[in-house]
Amino acid sequence: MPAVPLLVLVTLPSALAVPCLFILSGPSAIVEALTLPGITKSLAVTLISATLGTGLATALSLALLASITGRSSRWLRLTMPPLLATPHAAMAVGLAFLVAPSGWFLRLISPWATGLERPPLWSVAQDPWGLSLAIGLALKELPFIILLAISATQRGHLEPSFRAALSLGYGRYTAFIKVIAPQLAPAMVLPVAIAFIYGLSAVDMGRVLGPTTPPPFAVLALSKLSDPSAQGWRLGLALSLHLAVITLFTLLAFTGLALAVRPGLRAWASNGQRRSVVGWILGPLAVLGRFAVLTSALALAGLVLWAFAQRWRFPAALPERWTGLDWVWARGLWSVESLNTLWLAFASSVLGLALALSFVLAERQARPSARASIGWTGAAVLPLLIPQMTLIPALLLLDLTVLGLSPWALALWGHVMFTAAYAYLSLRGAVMSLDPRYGKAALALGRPPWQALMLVELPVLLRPLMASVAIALSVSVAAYLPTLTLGQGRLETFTVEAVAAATGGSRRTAAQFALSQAFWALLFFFAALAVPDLAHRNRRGLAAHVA
Amino acid sequence: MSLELINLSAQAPSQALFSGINATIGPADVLAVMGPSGSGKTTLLNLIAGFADPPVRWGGEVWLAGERLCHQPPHKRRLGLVFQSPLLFPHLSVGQNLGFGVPGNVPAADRRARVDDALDQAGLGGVFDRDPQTLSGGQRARASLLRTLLSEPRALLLDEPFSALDEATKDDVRAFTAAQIERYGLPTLLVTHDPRDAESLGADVLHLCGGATAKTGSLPAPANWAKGSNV
Repeated sequence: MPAVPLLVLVTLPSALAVPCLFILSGPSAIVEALTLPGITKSLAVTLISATLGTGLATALSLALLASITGRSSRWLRLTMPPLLATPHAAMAVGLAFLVAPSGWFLRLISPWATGLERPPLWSVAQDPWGLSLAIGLALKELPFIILLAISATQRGHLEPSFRAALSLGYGRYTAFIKVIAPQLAPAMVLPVAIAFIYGLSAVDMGRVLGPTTPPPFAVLALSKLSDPSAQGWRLGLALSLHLAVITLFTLLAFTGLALAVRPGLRAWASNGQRRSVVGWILGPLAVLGRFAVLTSALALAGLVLWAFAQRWRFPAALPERWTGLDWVWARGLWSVESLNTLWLAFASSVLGLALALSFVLAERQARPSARASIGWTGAAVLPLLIPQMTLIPALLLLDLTVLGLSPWALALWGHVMFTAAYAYLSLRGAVMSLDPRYGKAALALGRPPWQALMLVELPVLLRPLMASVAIALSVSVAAYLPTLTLGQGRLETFTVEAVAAATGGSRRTAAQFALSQAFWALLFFFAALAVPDLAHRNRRGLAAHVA
Repeated sequence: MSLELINLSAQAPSQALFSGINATIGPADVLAVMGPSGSGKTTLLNLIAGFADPPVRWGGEVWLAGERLCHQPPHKRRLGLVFQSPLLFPHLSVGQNLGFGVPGNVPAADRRARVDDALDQAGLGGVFDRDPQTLSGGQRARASLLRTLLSEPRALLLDEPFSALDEATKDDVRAFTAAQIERYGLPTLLVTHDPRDAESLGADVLHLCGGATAKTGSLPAPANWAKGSNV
């Protein structure tokens, strides 16, 4: 019974997305969409950026993890959470400012190293093959993948295996790739797939960093959906449908590839070679990973500069004149955008957490087998396994044809689908591995089940619960497509305005919105993470009892 | 007040755990359940406490003070359950842990007095506000037992309560437990591997032999108490 709300509000609409689009777009639009000018290039850009971005993020994550296994990883643990909380749009805007012809990278080395007194004419961002988009995706997905990998490493108690391999004479990176990576793989499949699917339909990053002629597939679909004519709209729906099919076939192809190479990898892992080419590659990749983290930090620092820059001529490394602080209040703290961002974030996080918690408690009570638990997880994270560009238009259609909700309610629903899915992902491990004797002890002391849950189990789980809230808040603050499409243009949030300003060429305005967005996301994130420290100071046992 | 076990049996999906358990445990009496690993000792205890896991099918009846317990939820049985490792709630202080055990209808001032009295009598005065993690193993064991006793149970179920303690502490906690059982006159069921536990509480012994009908009996001679041996 507690699983029903999530099944109805999250799983069911996700499951209906593809059939809904198939019926309402119509056969002629489905065929015509395939003949649109530039469709092949658009598809290629999307596949290249998503594959390269996710592949790079995964490789850098593994390399960084290999470089810190068995060592203190304090710097990584400190830098990853804020980068995870940074919204995609803010990161895209910051990165675009960093690598633009007049961007910070070039300013820092000009004119003394380049001789440039004026910005060059070439462009790095919005390159025709989506490489800068791939880098943006890689930078943004890196913290997501690496934090989940660290969590899986800790849960699996893999360090003894690593030390055993080192003692057998294997080099650090070869030991990692031959011993730890195969054990990590099952836990990493889902996050990597989610990152890849996100990359296929990333509209906010695609608009800022992707090419414009033709744009990435999801951006093309969105532009058609904005077409006032019925046929244009149907074409947008058809493109969204095609994106789902492309996603499915790409995932099947990758799965087939993984299955095909697995026997070879296993044979290679046990061939006794203490050093390997992969091991040699991981070392430089770990250095590149550190550079990627530095680039992300510079992108955020660049946002601050651009937001406050009144006058900043090339090639000066710092602005010559600064804006006042007026915009901080008027735009960042007390504006329509901030109020909309805040209420959406709070409401969707609370609802999403409630749905995810009741679902995972139901799952724990049902004690599913290993195979059945895949079904439970699949149901909860289904919105993340379908491209947003497929799911969101379908939800809009469902509303227009059947439900008739207001844009506010519909946008909130769209946010809840994603906050619930991410809250489930971050909460499941902790709830399932909570010592069942806590609940039993409370019951045996005469407390009814609801008190055992509310007075014992949830307080013990406060840290993972607040981590879920932190992630849910960040997800909502960052949500671009649900806000833009389901809000039907009536919901102005930081994300929507930052992307609009960035694509409109207003650098300072884009930076101010993106900085405001990042500020709130980071504030929420760290405030939520600070709650358990305040509530449970002087309670050393809590960390040991919750996995 | 007596705890009665009538023809209890349990069947795991792949094997019969035990059958034909009949026993009556009188006030302040202790029945020690012993047997090899996997013989169903903890299952028996969980079954009595109301925590029978779904894959295990069970039969028979449990009565306490003339009341049939089988279909009552765990929180209404009023059976004090003490786990293998002293399970104090990590988000509460030691005193709050003990307060958690006091029945809800006791006024706040009285709750605090009961907790303070219990801590003083157990030689734990001054630890009310301490983090449970800062207590020694023996102190935690005593606090855990006190919390159970403050919940006013009608019987005690002890699941290897001394096994996590070092040898030096075990004797202290065994003596403390025996004194509390005597003081409150509680029928007690003790699951243990160690004959010394049973001996220190003056227990009768129920042997579970892995699928066979359980047999009551006496402890083996001390010369046969090899450390960690199964009886």
